[in-house]
Amino acid sequence: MKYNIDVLKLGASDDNYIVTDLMFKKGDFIQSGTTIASYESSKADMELSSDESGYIEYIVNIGDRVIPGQTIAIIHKNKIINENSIIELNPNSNSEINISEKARELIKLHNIDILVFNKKIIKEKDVKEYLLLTNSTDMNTYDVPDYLERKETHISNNIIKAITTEISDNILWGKNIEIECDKLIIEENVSIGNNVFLRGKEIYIGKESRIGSNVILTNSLYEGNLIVGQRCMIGSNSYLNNEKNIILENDVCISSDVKLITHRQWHSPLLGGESYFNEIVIKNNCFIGPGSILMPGVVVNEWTTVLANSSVINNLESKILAGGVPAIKIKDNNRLDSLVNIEERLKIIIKAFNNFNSMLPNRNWILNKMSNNFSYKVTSVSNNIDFTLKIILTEDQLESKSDIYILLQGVIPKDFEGIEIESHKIRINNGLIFRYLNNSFFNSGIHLKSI
Amino acid sequence: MIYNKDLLSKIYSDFSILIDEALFIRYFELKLLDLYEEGRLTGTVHTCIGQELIPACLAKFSLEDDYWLSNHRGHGHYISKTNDSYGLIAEILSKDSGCSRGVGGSQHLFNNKFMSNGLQGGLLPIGNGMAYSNKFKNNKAIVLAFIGDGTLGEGIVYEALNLASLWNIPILYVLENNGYAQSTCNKQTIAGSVQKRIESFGIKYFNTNTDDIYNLYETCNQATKYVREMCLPGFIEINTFRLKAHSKGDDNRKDSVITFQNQNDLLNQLISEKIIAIDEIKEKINKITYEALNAKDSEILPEFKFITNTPVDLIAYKPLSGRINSNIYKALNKLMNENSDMHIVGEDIEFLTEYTEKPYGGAFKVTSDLSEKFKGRVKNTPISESAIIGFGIGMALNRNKTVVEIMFGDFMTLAFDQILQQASKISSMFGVKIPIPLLVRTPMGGRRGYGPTHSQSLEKYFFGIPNVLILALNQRINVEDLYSNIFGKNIDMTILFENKVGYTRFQEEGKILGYQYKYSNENFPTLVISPPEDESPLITIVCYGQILEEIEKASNILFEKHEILCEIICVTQIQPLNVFPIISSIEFTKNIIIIEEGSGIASFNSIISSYILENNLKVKNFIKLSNDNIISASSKVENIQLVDAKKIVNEILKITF
Repeated sequence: MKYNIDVLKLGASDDNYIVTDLMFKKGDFIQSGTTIASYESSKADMELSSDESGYIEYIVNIGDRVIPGQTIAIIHKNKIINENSIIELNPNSNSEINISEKARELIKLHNIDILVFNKKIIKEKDVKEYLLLTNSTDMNTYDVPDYLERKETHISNNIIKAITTEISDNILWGKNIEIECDKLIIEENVSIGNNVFLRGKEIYIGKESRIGSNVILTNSLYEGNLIVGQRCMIGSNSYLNNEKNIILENDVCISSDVKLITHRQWHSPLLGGESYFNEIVIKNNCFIGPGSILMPGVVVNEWTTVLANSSVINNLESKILAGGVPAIKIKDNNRLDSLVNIEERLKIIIKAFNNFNSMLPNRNWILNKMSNNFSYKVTSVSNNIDFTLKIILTEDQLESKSDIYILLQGVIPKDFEGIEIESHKIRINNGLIFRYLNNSFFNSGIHLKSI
Repeated sequence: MIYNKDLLSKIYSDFSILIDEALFIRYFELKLLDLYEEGRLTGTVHTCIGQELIPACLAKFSLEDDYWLSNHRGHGHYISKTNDSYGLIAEILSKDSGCSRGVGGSQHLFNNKFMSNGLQGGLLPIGNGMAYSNKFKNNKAIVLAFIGDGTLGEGIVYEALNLASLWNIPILYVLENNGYAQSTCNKQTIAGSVQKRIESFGIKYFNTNTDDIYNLYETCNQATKYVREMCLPGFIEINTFRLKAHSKGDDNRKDSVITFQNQNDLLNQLISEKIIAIDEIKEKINKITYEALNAKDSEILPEFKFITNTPVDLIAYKPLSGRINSNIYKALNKLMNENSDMHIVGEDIEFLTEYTEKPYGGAFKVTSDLSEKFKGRVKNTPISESAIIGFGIGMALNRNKTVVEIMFGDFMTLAFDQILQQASKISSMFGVKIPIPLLVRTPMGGRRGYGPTHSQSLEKYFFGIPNVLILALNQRINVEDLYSNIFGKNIDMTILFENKVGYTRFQEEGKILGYQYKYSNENFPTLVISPPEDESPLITIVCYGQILEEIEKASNILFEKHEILCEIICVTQIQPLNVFPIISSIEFTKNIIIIEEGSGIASFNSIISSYILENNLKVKNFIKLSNDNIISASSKVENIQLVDAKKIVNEILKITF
């Protein structure tokens, strides 16, 4: 036995209506006279009620267009049994607990009962802390580092202790360097200053990156890695604490006296305090001003500059100037957007070379600009020897919005202090030209390839 | 009309008390003009010199319980009705012992059964409400509402006449036609026939003039008798002439006309023939003037505050059930059961009528079958928002709790004058707090595709009107408690903003999991939704009304996808606003986003932002979200225009770096 509930005609002006609400679920029992649905006419909401009691089955959905006389629902006198219905298992469905997506993934991955957290709001951090706690009590799986396997080798009177090492050619080593880790990879053209002490699980230093003097990388957990991308710089007297990973992407500059700290404590955990360990990530093309401190868990996004003596405790968005204690956004880096036309770029490059020009006399060299903007005649004052330095710059490079690589070409006669320039890449960074002038470019002028 | 001395003597012997009273009014007002010239009286004075016989005459047929509603030219009415000449002169001189304690002044007089307002015609629907209440109480009292010929240009007059005729309201409209609206002759302001206008509403029309005192007396008698005994509305037009200027010194009428009218004036003739003695009257007036001049000046300061910062405690949330519109129905049903004198009026709210076949019960089905349960107390009205709200004010002034339903919030602007110039003013401008147990409830909001004039959120236009309580209903509030509290301790007129979409929502659905819901311990509690105590929210979200639904959705997304927690403060009582819960929250989060569905200039967010600035509170991020444009009927465009969960999430993500 079943009854249909049909749409009534409301007025002359309306041919059809929109279903705005269905008050029950399929299979619900309803009493006669109960409002079961509402639909919208040209002006107001109308409600439809059932004259019979029974189990309801809707045959339209909310938002459907219906016409007068159309059936909206059927009232069954017998209970509806739907064998195809599947109860969806949702960790949120049976309780008042709210779980974030990241936390839910971890809970699923590690098959954790959500009741163990005893919380109403469960974040990724909660799950990770729980995992840390449960894993650390399991002594059998605790991975004790095997120091014995770290073999000691000596390069240029410096000590390297590692299980595996991959050190490329053309590394400029300072004095009194000590590196200790499981796996060490140093790519070509890297320079490392004096009195550098690096200790970590894995250390990777990308091409053309430079580490200044008195840089210390240290930890006590033996599980933090140091990843340094290409063309990065870590300034002198910087202190890096790698209890967790420290990741510098490409073209990151950390000036002198910067501290990167990957752990934080608030009393002893036994006294109810909490300790917090998290990695630090500095993304491409960032600059961290001298004396700044970065705290655990911080992510500095692309193209962001941090002022000197800042304390970074929160994530920083990309393309901004930030600073202060604690560091906050000061303004957007508008220069990044405005410096896209070719003329602007050309002006900057010319200025860079003029600066280069003014540096050389200090080193007893004289640079004469040739008729072409990018060719220079270089003369050594002391040795009375001259040669031509040619800079090749294509239009494609100028038009592209990405980094510019310029090829310096020139040959220095063999008897000129035994040094020859064959080719050397100089890179000029879009918005951060001054930084480059002071670091790579200037240095590239004196750091020539020896034969 | 020029009478001979014998006739004058006869007139005086027939109407001696009436004429003495009229004479008193005349010399009283002449005294006012003297005081004005001496610079002892400030402001403005509209005299009724030449028209005094009208109130003096009507007073003879008026009972003590009759209410008189007057206009800007109301001194004569006041003296005739109340006999309180000292209270009047003290009021005009802004003294504490004045009838409105020096707050109202010349145009805003108040006594037990007397009220005047300087705005033209606004009191007529209020008179309807008072008279309907009298009829309901069956106390034989009527209402006399005075208007001038200039007021016939106001639309509200005809809304009131229509309603009075439809509902057989015992009210007598008194038109004192003195031929001029301020300086403009009524030939330039009134088209056609006044009599035909009135009779077309089915209202009995009487006509008389102040020249013929016998006719005036008899017609006043007939008119008041008709209204009182037939319990029907009546309209009496009395042709008269104002001998002095509209206000003072601004007379632009022909001198010859004024001179002619002065010669014809009955009181002038009686004085010049020395039939009546004026010394005694003058002496009495001098005495009360002297007393009033030496009385204490009025020092009443208004007490209404728009913003307070009163500490409140938070109390636990009790689970609710049911849909909003059925809960409102239950709340109204309960109130109607408890208060046998309560009325509900509005457009299309009756369930069944003798003229229609199928049930209706309100555009949003809130009143449903209440008109069947409470016969005669739930009434369909004509489409006259201003007259309906005025009617409600009148009912409320006569101690009848009244609910007015305005079908769409967009129509509220049509009744703005009644709210701003009448309800708000009546409440405090007479020097005493006058309770107005009136609730105006109306749905705002879009998301239904109703287009520019049926989708707006106009709450902000009613902010800043003193003595009006403004509430907004949200999905998590206990509807029954809210409605009972409106007619509880509160004594101001209340506007309750509901929501079209909100009517269909279930009270428990869509809550944020894991969050704590709490109320402030106030009559109209502020809702505070916050994460558990061991978590710290990043931002405070402030809102009122149905937009809470979108904010809850946004908070769910923010936590699920980005692990960002918010604290939501949803205000129920927007005016007066207690900012305490908001301020306590931003002291902790330092970030605030204020969300509203209407336009965002000079609105809810401005109230809070100015408070933050005034009190020098430290805020890192201040964001406001609103819709500043006319709402399109296209649901696609409407969805882009109105604030929704997605927009809220995007705004909050901007500050997370």
